[in-house]
Amino acid sequence: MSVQSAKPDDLIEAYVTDVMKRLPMRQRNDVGFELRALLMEELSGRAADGGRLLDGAMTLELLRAFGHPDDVAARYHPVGIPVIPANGTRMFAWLTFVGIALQWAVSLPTAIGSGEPNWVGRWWLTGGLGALWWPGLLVTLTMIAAFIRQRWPAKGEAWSPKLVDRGYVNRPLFLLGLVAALAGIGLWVALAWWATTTTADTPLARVFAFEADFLATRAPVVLLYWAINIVLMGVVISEGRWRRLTRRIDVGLKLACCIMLAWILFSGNVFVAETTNGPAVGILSLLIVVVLADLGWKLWRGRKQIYVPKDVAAQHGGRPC
Amino acid sequence: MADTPDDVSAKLEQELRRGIIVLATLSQLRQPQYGYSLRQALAARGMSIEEGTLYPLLRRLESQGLLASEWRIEDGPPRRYYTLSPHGETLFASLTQSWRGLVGIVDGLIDDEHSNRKRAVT
Repeated sequence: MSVQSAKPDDLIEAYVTDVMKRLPMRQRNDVGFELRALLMEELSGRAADGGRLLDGAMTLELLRAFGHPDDVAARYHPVGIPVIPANGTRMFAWLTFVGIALQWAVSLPTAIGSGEPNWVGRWWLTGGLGALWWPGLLVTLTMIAAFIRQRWPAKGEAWSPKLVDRGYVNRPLFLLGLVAALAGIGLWVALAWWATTTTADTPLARVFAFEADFLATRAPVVLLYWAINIVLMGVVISEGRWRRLTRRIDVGLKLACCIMLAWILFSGNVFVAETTNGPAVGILSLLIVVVLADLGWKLWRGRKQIYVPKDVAAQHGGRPC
Repeated sequence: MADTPDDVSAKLEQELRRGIIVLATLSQLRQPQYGYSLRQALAARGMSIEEGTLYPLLRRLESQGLLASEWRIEDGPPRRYYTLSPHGETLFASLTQSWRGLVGIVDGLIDDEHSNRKRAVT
């Protein structure tokens, strides 16, 4: 049976049934009963206005104008509470994407490196699909947050400014850091001196024996770098805050640190014993990542929050507004 | 793809109307009405509201406690009649006051702009 030739009653019945399926159970029958009667009345009204007899085409036209059952059912629902507020959708999407990407970045190389012939299928069924726990967790947490917002709405507290003094230095903490750094350097130097000068063939001496080439060329650079850092820390502590110059020196030193660590790594072994050198290489590599991340974070945090739009700057001939 | 000027105009007009649908509906429910008769009453006064918008709206207003309803069987099929609840009457009075205030303000704004333009032309 074609839709056009179907009876108006049947079309309306089918339409209302479709709407009802999308409604909460307790509302279904009541809304369906009313909607069917109203649609019949609308249809009769239209037929009377147009001087026509009721037919399938006219009914279909009415129902399509009324809206898709999905949309109509949605209109019957009270205005819901958004699980993810509009101002959080971007962050939610980023967190989801980054979380999945990080997991895949770890699991995919492992799967490729396994050398198994069917690694794609195995990876997809384990690490691939498995990473989707992350968006599930995020959705669950946002649902809990939405429930809390609904149950205990914010009491419209007045906004308070969050004034951050970016130049502030916690002197006791910095002093503690300086003492720890000096102790670490002292320990390292003492260990190097002891391992180099000792004549005893003990396991400890073998484990911590430094490569002669490292001690001759790279170690002095490391010591110089540490010395400059300690001077910088001392200046910052004595001034009690970061200044533009000390910040720039700090950024420069961090960049220099990465270059120096890379140079140490690629210029040969640090320790004589492979059992010590292997972990040392791993630690130094990790240190490069940490320093780069810290540098990136500092640069990101220190950027201008509000800057002059290009067209405004152009009107001022590049002069500050 | 960017909206055409006609699309933008239609959307803005729709938003403008959406804001007053509730008030228009409440205004006609001081007397009991059922869905179809309400739509006809609104249309007769120049306020056509699509049936797909109006009928669900009645239910939503009822669930918010602004309308009371009952099934009646008179001449014809059973019909659900809606009327303002006490809470709905209070809200209607408050919305009416707000609406009149807004109309006055917006009229003033539009008239000022109109006069300024006229002065600029002459």
